[in-house]
Amino acid sequence: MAELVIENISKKFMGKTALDNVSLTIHDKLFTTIFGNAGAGKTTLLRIIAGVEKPDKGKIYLNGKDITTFLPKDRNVAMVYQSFALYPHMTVYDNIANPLRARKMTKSQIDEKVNQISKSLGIQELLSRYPRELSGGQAQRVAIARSLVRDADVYLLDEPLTNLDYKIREGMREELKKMCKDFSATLVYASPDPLDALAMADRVAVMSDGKLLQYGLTRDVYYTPNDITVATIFGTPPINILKAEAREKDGHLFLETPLFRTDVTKYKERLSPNKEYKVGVRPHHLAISKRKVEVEMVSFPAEVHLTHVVGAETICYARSNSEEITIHVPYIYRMEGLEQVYVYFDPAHLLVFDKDTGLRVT
Amino acid sequence: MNKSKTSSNIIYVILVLIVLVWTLLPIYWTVTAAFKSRIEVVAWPPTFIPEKPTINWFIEVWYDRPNPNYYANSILAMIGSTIIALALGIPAAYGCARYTFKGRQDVLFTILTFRFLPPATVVMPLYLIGRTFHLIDTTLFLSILYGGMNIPIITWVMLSYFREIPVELEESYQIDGYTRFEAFRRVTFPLARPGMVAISMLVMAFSFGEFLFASILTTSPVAKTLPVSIAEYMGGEWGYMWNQMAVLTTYGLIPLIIIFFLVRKNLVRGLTFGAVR
Ligand SMILES: Nc1ncnc2c1ncn2[C@@H]1O[C@H](COP(=O)(O)OP(=O)(O)OP(=O)(O)O)[C@@H](O)[C@H]1O
Ligand SMILES: [Mg+2]
Repeated sequence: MAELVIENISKKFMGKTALDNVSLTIHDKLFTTIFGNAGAGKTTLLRIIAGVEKPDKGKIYLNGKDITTFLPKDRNVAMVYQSFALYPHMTVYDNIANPLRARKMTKSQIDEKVNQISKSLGIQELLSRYPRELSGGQAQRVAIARSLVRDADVYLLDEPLTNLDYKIREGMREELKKMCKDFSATLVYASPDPLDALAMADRVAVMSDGKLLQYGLTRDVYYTPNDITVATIFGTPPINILKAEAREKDGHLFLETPLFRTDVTKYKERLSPNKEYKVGVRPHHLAISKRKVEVEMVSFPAEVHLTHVVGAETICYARSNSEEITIHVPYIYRMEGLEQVYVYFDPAHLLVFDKDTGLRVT
Repeated sequence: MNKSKTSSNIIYVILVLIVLVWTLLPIYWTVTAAFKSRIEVVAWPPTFIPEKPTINWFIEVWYDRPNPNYYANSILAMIGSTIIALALGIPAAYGCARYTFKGRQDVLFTILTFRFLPPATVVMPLYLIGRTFHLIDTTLFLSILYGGMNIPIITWVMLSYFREIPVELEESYQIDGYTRFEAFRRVTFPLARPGMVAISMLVMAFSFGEFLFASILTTSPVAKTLPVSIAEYMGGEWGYMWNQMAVLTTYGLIPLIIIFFLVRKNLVRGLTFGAVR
């Protein structure tokens, strides 16, 4: 049982705000991702949870106990650093055994645990090596082994995948997720990559400039972002944002954008006529067709001017009425010169934001 | 390609030979001079191997200086000053490397300014201070002065050493379940040790050979140091007594060579220290 409560944590470095009144509760045995761009305060938050940094304000509770002033060694929290932080003068074995030695285990207990974790991470052959003799992927496994070898209440992982190449990253995502379940561990994982959160996390906390913008189930945050900032940063490729205006006509309410017009009468209470809004639609909610088809969807013509194939999927960059649109299609799409297409989407996926406050209204 | 490799190898060998001759020849000359006759030592051209090796000068120095204090004093001042310089310089460097606090740059710069004054300009005030505190003619005073003079270089060299050791290593060690001091002792200290050894060698060599302060601040036979003792064989009614000076210098080489051999492994690593990761 591990419940970590972060309460009103603030931190400044030389007058510059790194964390601004952050509160969230990390739930037991869940995979929680702290998502945010570079400099959002992810590492600072993890270091405060681990106890190697003091917050200026606020409290940390672990299982109901106030641990704000506890030394790192008294917290039972493990952490994997962005840079792995392997001790260069110790072998891989000694690196992994280090937290166990602090707990005064016997030699044979330590031996057993180190061997067990190395086996499950596939690094048994590396035990007698020194960190400088490891590849990036190996070093990262060793760092993960060093934290998972302990029985910690909470495991903190600071972007452990960013230093790895694309292929290994994909594999590790699966493995980490599985590990979290197998060890029934409580994991907090910081990452600037929305895909990390979308692929692995039960819950995600979206941070920007030291502030917590939204915290909740990953799919809730993704499909119903609180505001336009969350919608923009959490998702890749970024969401398409367009200007829009609400218009009333014949008892119906319409949203008009430079590209399309859609009936939003069912949101009548939340939208006011003749008011300006911003609408967002995610690239993967858009579909492309070369012919105009009659369907119950919003559609508009566009000109694809660039495609980018990733794996078996394609990101298409299109232009329509001098607006730039990104479309993410789940197949390989190759264009021959500029192509005129029709873009379709289900209006249910449309997110509407207040133009001034940025808050989501539908 | 092969040809250029061979020629660069030849240049390399020549350069090494020049450096070897440059450093070893004076030492060789000094040590052999201790075994030469008084005439041979000033003969021109100099002889490479003593014609009639003699240990008379060693015996004479033994009678001249019945009290080997000067030798012990130099070794004590060397060890004492190194301990003082390390004990103050390392915490200063560590603190400035690991903590950001107001005026850190000023502290570092102030420490550096201690070395801006030429020693000769402060020797008189130091004499007066020493007399006030009854420290004239003590090895302790020399240790303090030599130590103090070397704090700046230790602080600045170790500062860059500590900065190169990622703070995450210490943090990670604490998260593993240790105190901050344990993290320093078992991670940062071993990683910085080559640097400490290299810089300590410089401090020791300086303290062992320092002459100006020693000659003015110690005058009684009990407090004299080796360099002062050597200087006393210069001039005087017998002129320059090269042989005796060579004997004392040979003695002086012994501790430095011993220390060098003890730490040579660390020294090489200390001078070629790269990134930790
Ligand atoms: N030790 C420090 N001293 C001064 N400023 C710091 C320190 N640590 C972090 N900061 C600042 O605090 C802010 C948050 O940094 P933090 O490292 O937590 O961001 P992050 O979300 O982990 O970013 P990244 O994705 O680049 O790792 C940044 O503006 C950073 O410059
Ligand atoms: Mg970070």
